[in-house]
Amino acid sequence: MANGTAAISSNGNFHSSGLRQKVDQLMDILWSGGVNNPMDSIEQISYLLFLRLLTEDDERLARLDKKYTRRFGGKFSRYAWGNFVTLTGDQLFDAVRAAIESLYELPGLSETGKLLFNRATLKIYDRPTLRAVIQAIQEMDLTAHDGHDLKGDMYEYLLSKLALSGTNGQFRTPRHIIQMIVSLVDPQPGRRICDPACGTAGFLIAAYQHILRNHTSKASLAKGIVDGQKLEPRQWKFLEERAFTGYDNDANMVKIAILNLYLHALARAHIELYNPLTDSRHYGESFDVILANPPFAGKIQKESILADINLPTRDTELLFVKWFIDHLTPGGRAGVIVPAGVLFGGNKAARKVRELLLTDCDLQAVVNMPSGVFKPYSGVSTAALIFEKADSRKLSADGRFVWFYDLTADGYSLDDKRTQIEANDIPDLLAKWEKREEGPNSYRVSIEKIRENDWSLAAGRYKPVTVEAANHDKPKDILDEVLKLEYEIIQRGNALMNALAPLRGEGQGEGPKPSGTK
Amino acid sequence: MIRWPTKPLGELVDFIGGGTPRRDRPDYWGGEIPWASVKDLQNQSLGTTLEHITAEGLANSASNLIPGGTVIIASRVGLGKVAVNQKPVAINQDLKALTPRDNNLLPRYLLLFLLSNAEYFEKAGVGATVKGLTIADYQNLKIPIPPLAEQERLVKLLDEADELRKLRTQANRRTADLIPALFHDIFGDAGHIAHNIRPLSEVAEVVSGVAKGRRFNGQKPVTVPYIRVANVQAGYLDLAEIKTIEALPSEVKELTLKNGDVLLTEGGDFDKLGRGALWEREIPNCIHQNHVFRVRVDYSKLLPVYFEKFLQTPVAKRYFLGCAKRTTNLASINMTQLRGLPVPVPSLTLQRDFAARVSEIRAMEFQQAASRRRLDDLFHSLLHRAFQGEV
Repeated sequence: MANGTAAISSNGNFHSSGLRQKVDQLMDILWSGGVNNPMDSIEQISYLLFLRLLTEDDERLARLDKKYTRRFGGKFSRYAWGNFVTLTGDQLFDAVRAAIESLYELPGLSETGKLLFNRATLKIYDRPTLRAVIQAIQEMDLTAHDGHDLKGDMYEYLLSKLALSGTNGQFRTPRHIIQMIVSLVDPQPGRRICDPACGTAGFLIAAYQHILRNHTSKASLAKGIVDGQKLEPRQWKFLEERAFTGYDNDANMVKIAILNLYLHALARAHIELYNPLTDSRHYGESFDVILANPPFAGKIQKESILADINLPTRDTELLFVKWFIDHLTPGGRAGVIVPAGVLFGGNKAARKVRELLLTDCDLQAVVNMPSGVFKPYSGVSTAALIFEKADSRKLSADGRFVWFYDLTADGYSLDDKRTQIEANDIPDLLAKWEKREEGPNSYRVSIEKIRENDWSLAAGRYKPVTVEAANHDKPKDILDEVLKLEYEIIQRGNALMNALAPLRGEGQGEGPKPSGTK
Repeated sequence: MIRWPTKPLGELVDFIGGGTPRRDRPDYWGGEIPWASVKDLQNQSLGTTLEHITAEGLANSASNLIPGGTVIIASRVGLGKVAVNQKPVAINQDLKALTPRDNNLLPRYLLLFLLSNAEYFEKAGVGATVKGLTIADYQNLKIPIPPLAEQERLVKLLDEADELRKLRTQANRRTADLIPALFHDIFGDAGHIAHNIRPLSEVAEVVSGVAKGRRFNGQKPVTVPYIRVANVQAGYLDLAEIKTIEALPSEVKELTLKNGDVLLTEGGDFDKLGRGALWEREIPNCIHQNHVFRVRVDYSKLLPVYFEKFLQTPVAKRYFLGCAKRTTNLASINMTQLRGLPVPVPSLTLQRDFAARVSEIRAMEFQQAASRRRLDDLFHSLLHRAFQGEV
């Protein structure tokens, strides 16, 4: 697996590893070679990258275990990555295309691997461009250094190039917002975690990293290593095989999610092309944790909506919230993003969903996010909801409250550029979360009060309004100042009177006249 | 009366226009150079601007950089607005800078001259569409040109009259702090008066008014003046327009306002919530609408002046905000909540003492307001006469 350009990275930092420049270079090569759609570019890079990593994995296992049967053996041997490095022109094109189109049949390939290469084809038709892309991927240093595996970071950076503004309401959730929500939900090992609208699988990966971080010794963390050493073998096994489930109804997204998880050491996460709102295949499953940023601003055809969801609306965001509630196990926790309209929408379905959040679930936090959070994809105003499904019976309103936090800054400018800035409320939010502390941005509102307000969760209804303090100056002091002003007015008025003196006797009908003239 | 020679403005000053750098060039915007539009001509001095451009933006547009101390006018919208810039500023196409060709015209004299014509500009600009005045209209405007010393004298007089207006405003504003300070001085922070706090319903009668557009089922209503929400302002009544409403004679009898009644609206912006105003006028048979509450105090316990001023305290505001029904920007209270308002009830002697001082302060405020109006008249009279050679 070693290649000639190893050890570019020595300190484990993605930004100084040279990988970032390689990714930029790859995108440029593809762009000038006629692959203009970033989605296509990422798909093509994904296939080639996966092919290289599968080959390297195969070689590594063969070295370690003499009895290992190579995947790239027999008729598949000509599809191994190493074959392409020396080819050029039509020979190269034909070989790479044959490999990509046949890989779904590769022996021992996981279900998700098969899904990744299902109907895959090569779209880089320009031969020199293909040559350059293969070369660039070959030159990437993808080995781990000092416990830092940079493959995931590299792929995340590649995904940040995805601009999917508006299409199907998809947009990439900023990673720091994902991390904030994951910290609030705090997923534990041994729990089944689902993102039913997973996109690039950002939430699942963040949940995995959160669990690893919480099970890594302080000494390792201090060195910047997150290895999850404290996890027991059965916990590892569960994490790798059963913990993560992701659905998406976009075939390209599913492929990206699979590769992203693979590169983050979650090759066996369950990812599936599936629309939870219209397909009954998995309806009624339940999960211990649900994390999601579902597509908003879309409506689906009434006939296609699953009758089980049982909510009188066609709005995807409301249907998804109902789906989250229905698919949590009792005591299960969710952290999801919704458009602000869900918080105060006046229609029957929106009210029903909010009532369920407050009676069938314990809605713990409403984090109102600034409307620039999803820029440059969208300027929509959103909120994160954190809730826990009740144990089988309705919760009473007694003594319960919802903690509201109005996030005014998330550490990035709220324009299209989203450059990093100093103002950031997220650390304050996380510090106040445990005790649900009140502060300039946070306040508690009783369930009783929310019920009185027709289950509205609009912050505007509850946000404490500060009453301006009374003027505590002594009346005597104020009067003293006023009289000084009056005295100045009189003095200056008299001076003006003198300046206007030549007017005297002219007998104008209006304007100032000293008394006694005329 | 001295008539100074007049000249068309076009012979004395150059009119310099401006422009806007391309909006689709981010590198033209957000630089160091202040760039003024008519929005920045808020008073007669042009200081900071809302937008800024870069040197490239200035170079690649019709905008011009105007040196400090120049008279700038609005030439298309906001006609009549005029200012002198403090620092060099670039201008857009809706502004014109007037630069004198020689030293015989003081900028401030020019500014005051244009100000004295502001009304004419405003009227000339009124049309179905924004048509503005042509440059020729400005160029033909005849300006009297007295010697520089006389220009200086006139500028000084007008500035002095303007200064009097400003002092007046300052004194009036400070006087407005007197009553709340007096309340605090006598009663303390009302929330901390530990003894004798009573719900409003025990010390006053609270009623709501009649709804508009009702049916009377054969009974014969009468038409009477009534108080709407718009009449009840923050701390005072705006009685400029009184509308009429139909009500039954029995209702009129019950709801007719009496001297000393305190009127409250049920809602509005957060900061207006629970503000009351005292009914002190005599409009015969005047009643009120259902969105206005009337509080009639029990004079053996509470004086209306004290109660009305108590409503303005943070304590009362906090109570209303705490129980109000709220939407995103508006809030409202119902009659039950108003009746439950906890009112600290001090001794009648103390209340009477307070009321007497309030009426003295209000008499003073009344005089101050009249003084303010007359000083405005003074300034405009001088402005007008200065260019007629009458001062």
